Amino acid sequence: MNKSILMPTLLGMTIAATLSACSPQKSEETQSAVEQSTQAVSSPEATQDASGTDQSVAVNPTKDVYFGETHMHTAFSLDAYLGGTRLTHEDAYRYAQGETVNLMGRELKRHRPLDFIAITDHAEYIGEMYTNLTEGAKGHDQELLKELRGMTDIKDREAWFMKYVISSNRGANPAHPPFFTGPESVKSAWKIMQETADRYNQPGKFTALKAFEWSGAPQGGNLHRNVIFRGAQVPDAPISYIDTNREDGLWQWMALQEAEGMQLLAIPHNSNASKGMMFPSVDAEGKPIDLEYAQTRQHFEPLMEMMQVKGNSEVHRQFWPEDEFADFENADSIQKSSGRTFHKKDFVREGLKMGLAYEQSLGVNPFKYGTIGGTDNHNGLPSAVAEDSFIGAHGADDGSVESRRTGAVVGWIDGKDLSIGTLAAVWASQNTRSGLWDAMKSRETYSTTGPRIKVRFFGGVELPANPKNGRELVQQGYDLGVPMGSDLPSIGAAPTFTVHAMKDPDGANLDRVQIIKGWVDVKGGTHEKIIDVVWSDKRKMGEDGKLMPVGNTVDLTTAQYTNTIGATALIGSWTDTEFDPEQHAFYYTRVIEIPTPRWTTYDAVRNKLPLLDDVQASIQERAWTSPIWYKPAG
Amino acid sequence: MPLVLKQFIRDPFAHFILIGAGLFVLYGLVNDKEVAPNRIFISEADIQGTANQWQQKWHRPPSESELLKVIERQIREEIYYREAQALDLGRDDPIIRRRLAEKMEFIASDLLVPSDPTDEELAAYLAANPDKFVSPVRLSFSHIFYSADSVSRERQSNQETLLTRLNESSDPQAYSGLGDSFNGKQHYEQIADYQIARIFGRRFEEQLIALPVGQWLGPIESGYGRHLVRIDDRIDAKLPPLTEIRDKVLPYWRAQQQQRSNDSLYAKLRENYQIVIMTKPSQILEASLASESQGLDGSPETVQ
Repeated sequence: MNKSILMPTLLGMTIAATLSACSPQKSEETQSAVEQSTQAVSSPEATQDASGTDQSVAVNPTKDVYFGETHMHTAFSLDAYLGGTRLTHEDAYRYAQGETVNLMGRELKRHRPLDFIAITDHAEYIGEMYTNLTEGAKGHDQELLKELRGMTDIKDREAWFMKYVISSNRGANPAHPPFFTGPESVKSAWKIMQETADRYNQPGKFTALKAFEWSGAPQGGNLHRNVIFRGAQVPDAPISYIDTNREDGLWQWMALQEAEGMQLLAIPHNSNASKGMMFPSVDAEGKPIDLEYAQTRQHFEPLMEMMQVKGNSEVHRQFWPEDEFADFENADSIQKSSGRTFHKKDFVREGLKMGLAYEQSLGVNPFKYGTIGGTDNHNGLPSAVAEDSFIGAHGADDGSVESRRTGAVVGWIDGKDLSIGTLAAVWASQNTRSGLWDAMKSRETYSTTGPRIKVRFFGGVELPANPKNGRELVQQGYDLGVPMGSDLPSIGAAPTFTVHAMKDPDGANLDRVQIIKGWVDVKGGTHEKIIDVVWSDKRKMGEDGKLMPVGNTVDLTTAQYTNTIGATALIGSWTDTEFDPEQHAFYYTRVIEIPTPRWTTYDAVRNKLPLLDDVQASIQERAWTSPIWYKPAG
Repeated sequence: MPLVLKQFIRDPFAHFILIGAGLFVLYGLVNDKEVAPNRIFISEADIQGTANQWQQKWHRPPSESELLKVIERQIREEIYYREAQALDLGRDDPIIRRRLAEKMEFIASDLLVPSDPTDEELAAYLAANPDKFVSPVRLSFSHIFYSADSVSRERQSNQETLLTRLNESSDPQAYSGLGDSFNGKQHYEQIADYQIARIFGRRFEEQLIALPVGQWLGPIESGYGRHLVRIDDRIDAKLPPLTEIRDKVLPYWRAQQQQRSNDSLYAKLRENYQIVIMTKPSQILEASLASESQGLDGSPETVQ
């Protein structure tokens, strides 16, 4: 048998080495660190006035758009770690700002830095991950964790996950897995995250929002929420579904934090995978939802993530056959696991309509959701949203061309159905924690499927139709109307909506801008209508009321497209002549790009593989704005 | 704890020696087993460990017969494992080979984490890799925009005469209000290169940054159309001193050290092997070289 020469070689080497090794953090679990961490972690924001606006940073009253991420995971999320993710918060912040990080041996760098990110590790196991990642932490050396660190094969990791984690968390009374060492480990993990966020937060340049994900999934239905804090002050630990498994429990906890002087909001996501539970007619106890439920939900949840790596939640082609853009990243294969069958009421447009009906019957809209983007990446890479450079989102599960084409993210979705995530766009008066959070709270936000499309959207009775240019539209919008995410005041006359969309300067031209109106009649029945407001290439409206398709320049042999069709910018207005002041209504815009190659097409062309025949080879990327709502007086 | 011992524990070199010594002892034990291949020794600690694991998994201690069963299973596994090793069954099994190789590499790279660098080391790294750390180029510039959505040949020829006129004009504001309405400013003051790319697109920024100062030129293309441009002022990129960006340099330096350690370990190991490659691989391959386009050229992949 061969004798190993590694050990003598190691000894003979002159490189100084330490043992801190695979742990990204040195042990923080000294007595004093733990004592400190039991108090609220806080660090002073830069100079603030009474409203919390950062006085050291210029304020733009007509707002700028900031692009970023609201939903992503690092090595502190157990499922991400099992997928092979070793990137930490530090890496995520560096990558977000355009620095190079190393992902499983590959150097990655984004050429367009982000303006902000919120890292949302699963609160459930951050304590366990702290123990696992930190040499010298209490319980670091227990057998199960040694086993976890020693596994190199993805199949073993999956089996381990099912055995020790899934079994303890999908039931009615979820529990920590056996390798949990106690609440101090959670506090230690949380403290590291807060310190790192404070270190990377640079008011006016780059914002590190403090956040976590509460991952409740009763009966396997996805009720996950990302919780985002306004300021630097946070509690000494986040809440997990082990503490409370239902959304009303989460809101109670959030109310407690508000009483402590914090401001925070929750963003639900993946309503498509919620098994009918995201927009429920009953609360957690099975009682029909009431006024208090509606008020609480609306207060804590201003935004909904429209689409992410596990599919588009706006609409599904099966339930919206009339909507010619509904067949987009439907992610049908998530129905294969955990009994997640799609229902019409799992989709955001339907939820928004149901919200209007509740507003009519209860007086308050429980589902008053604006639109935001996120990826749910589990690889430590915030907003890696470009179709031409998709490298998977879950580490080993989808990290290779082959696994994406033929494999699956176990228990979730087929590789080829992955839809990349969406980019969050926030119209804020300054790029600071308070500036961005306030804009999120007032829903002046939208999401895009990746391209940096810029879109402004205003509504009001006094808004002049046919705005001349973007500047005029914005000025009139703020002076005479309300922006996306707001309410129209009670009015007797038909409102006009103005919209200005600009293409991504590095991306594809625009096909059209649509407004989607939803409303409820006196009997409580809900309705919707899609209006093409402005489009490219002087196309004529067909007799069936449908606009001619914009065309398709994608060459499937080279994965290239040209901007010879479409427009660089679209500006226009629409007046709702069917407006009825007695009807509750919402209006949101959808901006559609010309067709471009889907990531599967780039994968196929680059690797000289055939195109997959059961996914779309080219797609029309898009942006969705938050709605503007109308509520009758009285 | 006595101070000396504390210092010893913190000293990376001490760790290194300790680990090495530990490995040698372990190595010796393994070799021992080779001498007595038919002996399987189950210690009290082994049994205790087995019982603990049972407890962790089932939340109760095992009964005696359960414990015996588990131990018998472990013995069985150990015997078959040794028999398989004796026959060298892992040798041709790609999964076992890969796994062992990965494990070895993993352990080795864990042992070779660099210690904290001195300022001199970091400064040297900074000097050798300025591109990663330079401040952005800042430009002050003015532009006249012609939208791609409404191009006409007539306007294009006008652009040339306009350029001449602007360059001859004594009024530096003569451009004001000309061209199509741009959704942004017509004049930018000390704007960073990456911000220009963000507003106009990357191609525009690359072209603009190469232009001389003080002259109307163009048109150059952006994501939205064509632009006549004049650069009014330029602040070149500069490398900040280490004291300002130490936090930024450190992770890069660490990554580089880790890579170097791994490479040099591999090189040292490789020296101990005589490697014979019988034929040039290029002779085996047909003209059609399979191309794996992603991530093989050594440069960072850029993502949007």
